[in-house]
Amino acid sequence: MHPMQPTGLQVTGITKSFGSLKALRDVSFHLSPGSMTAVLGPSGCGKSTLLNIIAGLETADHGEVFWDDQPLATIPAHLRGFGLMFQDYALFPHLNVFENVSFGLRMAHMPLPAMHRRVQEVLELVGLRDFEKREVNNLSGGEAQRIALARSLAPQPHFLMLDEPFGSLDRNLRERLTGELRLILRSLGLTTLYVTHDQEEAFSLASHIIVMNQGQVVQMGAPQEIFQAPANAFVARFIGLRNLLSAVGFGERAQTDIGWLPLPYPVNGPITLLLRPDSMRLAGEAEYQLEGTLTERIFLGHSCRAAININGTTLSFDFPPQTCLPAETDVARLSFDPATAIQIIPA
Amino acid sequence: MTQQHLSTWSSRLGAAVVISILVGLLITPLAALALRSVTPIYDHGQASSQPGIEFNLDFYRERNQNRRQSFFYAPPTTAMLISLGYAAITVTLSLALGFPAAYALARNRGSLTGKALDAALMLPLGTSSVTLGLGFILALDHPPLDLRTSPLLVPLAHTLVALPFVVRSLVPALLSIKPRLRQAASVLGASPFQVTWRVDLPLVSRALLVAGTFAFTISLGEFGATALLARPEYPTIPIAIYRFLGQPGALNYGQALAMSTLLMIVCAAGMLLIERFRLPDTEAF
Repeated sequence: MHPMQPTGLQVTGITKSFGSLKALRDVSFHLSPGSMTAVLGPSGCGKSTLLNIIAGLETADHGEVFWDDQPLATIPAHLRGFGLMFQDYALFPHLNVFENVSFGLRMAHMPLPAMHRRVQEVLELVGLRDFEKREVNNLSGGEAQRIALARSLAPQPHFLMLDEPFGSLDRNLRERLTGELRLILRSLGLTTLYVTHDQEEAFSLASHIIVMNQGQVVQMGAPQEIFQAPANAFVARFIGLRNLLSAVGFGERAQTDIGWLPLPYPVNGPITLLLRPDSMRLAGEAEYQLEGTLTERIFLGHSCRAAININGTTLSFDFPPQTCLPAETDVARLSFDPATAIQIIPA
Repeated sequence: MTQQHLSTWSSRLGAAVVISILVGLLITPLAALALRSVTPIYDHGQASSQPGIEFNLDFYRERNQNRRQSFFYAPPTTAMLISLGYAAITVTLSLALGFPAAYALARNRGSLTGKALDAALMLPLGTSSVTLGLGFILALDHPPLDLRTSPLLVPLAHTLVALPFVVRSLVPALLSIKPRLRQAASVLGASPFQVTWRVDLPLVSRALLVAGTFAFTISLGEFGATALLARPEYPTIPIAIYRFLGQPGALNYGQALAMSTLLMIVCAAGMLLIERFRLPDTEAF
């Protein structure tokens, strides 16, 4: 069945339309075996459709999915051996925890004693020992989420997909479970594709990020790469970068809402400028300066975040902690070096 | 739901009148039937003037006596057994046919095929069951489909009459199953058949019970089609009642009453069972 060398998941040119709505447009990427990848994008960007196509629950209009170089088009969902965990968990309400977790094992005709052992194993893995007899309707959100994870892990899939697995949980619980999930998935060394609209979740879990918007892949790479060099204004905004300014480049200078700014290199036409939050100095004499009104200061322990209004646009910068001490004046004079402080992002 | 409590006296009075009329219309004939079936009838053909005070079970005891040596006489107990047998076959057939039909309807809801299928399945409701019976006689009298002498003929007709009720009970239950559950089962390795067997069927089990009970009581009470199709030596309870009524004599009359009462009790038990298992707001009936 399997070729000599595992090559992981290959997706090439997937296109899918629902009526006039183009859900996916020419989506291609490759996941190497054992990698953890997050698909990051706003709701409605086609990421769930993408998972359904990889899982075999929907068929693509064009394009192909390969697992270890084997095309999957003719293999139905129940024979692919993938795991998929849904946002709403989709636990079977008529079955108890044991019956839910063992569902995949039963489908694989695993003998009963082995089945009991395996269920116990995965329940321990997700930290819910002795939950076998519980009814799934009486589980809390966090417990249901773990049971759903245990159920998708039980048949030992060679590829696991998670569709917004923490989407319906509150912030605190989500952060804790994200950490646990990372440990579990790392320990299993499972190839994982994780879909989310939460950039923090994506960055904290995945070693590789695929950013999607309107059915298209807009950027792929390591989290640091995406953070440092967003491919366009959408990515920059979506991963939560602050201080983005629409601008029009005129050679070495650009016109923005806060006035003319020097550019690190000459550009013409519409662009987006990112003013790096940690690249400004207060006062001091420098070639380049900005002047604004200090409107808010938030003490963050290791730094002081100040909101500064420049010509009606509020930007926020991080300064050393002592900046948060009371000041005599509201006027803030910022000095900066264009090469490090200003980043040009394609519009 | 925007139900309001009846707050004014006049609206309460109005509701009370309507409910009284309904209860009167529903209960009175049935109660009269039960009461008369245990009221003795004297030789001169006059019923006791004090129904309910004079009380005996003669008509129930007389069930199996063919006093008049009627040619196609079937004892009431036999009719009861035939009815129950037909009902059992009807339940099996209508569920076996109704579940796939409901499944197809739930899947194709809103599409043209779905609407056409829905209309076709509701057809037996719109046509008189006498018409259905006559159609059976005309259509099923040629090989390979010569079912006129088959014991399946009557339950087959009952199945058609029951099918709209069975389908209408199952469709909402099937629609209420989240598609995600089927998808989850499928990804976990369940073939389409296993998805139906392990997810859909258990999740609609209550609706199946309701549908089965509908089929059961409909089969027990069906008269129009059965009157045309039943073979004289195999009458169902309603046919037997009709025959008793068609023969002169107080005893026949009393036996018809007794059998009607028995039929009523069985059907009422079935309906109570439906009410017991009905999920709130999940059935179209």
